[in-house]
Amino acid sequence: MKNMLLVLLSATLLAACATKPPPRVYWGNYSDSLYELKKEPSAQTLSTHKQELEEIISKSETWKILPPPGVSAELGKLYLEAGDKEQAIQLIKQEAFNYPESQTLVALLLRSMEEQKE
Amino acid sequence: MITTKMTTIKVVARLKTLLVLVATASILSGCATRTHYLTKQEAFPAMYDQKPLSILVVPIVNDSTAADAGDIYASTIAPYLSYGGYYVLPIEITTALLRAEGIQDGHQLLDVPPEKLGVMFGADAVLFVNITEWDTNYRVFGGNVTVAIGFDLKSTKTGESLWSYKVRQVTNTSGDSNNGGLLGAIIVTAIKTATQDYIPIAKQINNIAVRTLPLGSYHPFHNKDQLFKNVHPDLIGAAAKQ
Repeated sequence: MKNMLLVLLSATLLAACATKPPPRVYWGNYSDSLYELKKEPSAQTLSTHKQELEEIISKSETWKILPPPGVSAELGKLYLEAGDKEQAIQLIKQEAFNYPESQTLVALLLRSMEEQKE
Repeated sequence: MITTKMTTIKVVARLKTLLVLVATASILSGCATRTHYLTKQEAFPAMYDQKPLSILVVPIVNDSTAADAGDIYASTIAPYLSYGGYYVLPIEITTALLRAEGIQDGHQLLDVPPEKLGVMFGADAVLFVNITEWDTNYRVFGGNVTVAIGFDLKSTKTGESLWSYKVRQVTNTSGDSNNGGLLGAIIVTAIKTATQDYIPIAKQINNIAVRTLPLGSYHPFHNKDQLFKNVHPDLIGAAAKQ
């Protein structure tokens, strides 16, 4: 009986040490920061949402999972609006690289960015 | 020895009676509350035929009295569709593109063929979301928030409805009436309902609805959930267009 208890106890301790498996997809606080931005658009809510998107992408990279659908492109849009076209294009292309389902939309976006330049 | 035997017999006899009673009761209750849930395959066969990979969420159709319900809701849907295994086109971007085409409101898209939207955005399916109720009720003791949302996912290949569901949820928002007596209770209720965070309510509804959606290609159980039996027959089809 004593032995069994010991085994159980050590098993529990070991299990606690094992790292949790990564999520299949990680959205962080996406909905909350996006809603705050929509409700009260300001430099602060914009920067909070942008940081949230950056963090979602970097955490996904750490876990070696794909960033959630649309997040790279959405961050690209924010960079574009802030005038950083180069970073915007890179992120929007990243979306199509990660998710082939987005190719039509990404092509449409890149085309409209080209038109705006001229 | 003999007495023990007698007691055993008595106990067995009593147990038998009890068993019969329990069996009768369960048979009777079985008749009273029977909702015949459908499997996903029975409810939404076209989803398994077409296997859409990507979903375009068009601007929310908001028929409720709350003006900001559409914005609140639109912030919450993409994660749930992606948990369900679908690629969701970036809603912030597709909404901006539609606005540039003169589409401000979901009502304007109800008569646009899904095929046309499919060609423009390269999506396999279009999700129409209709908020029919979003009401906050104040009461003396406690209040509640009633939210009802209809979902209709349409194929961009055939235009037909692939999945539709309607969820109605009443969430209690009553404050703690033990603090400060009657007046305290009234004030607590009013404050709590006014500052009620709607995001968790929207998330809860998404969770309930998306559980009935056949899982998409990014989910490990994609094309393996045909026999999941969780679709309430009365909630199908009663969806987006009303």
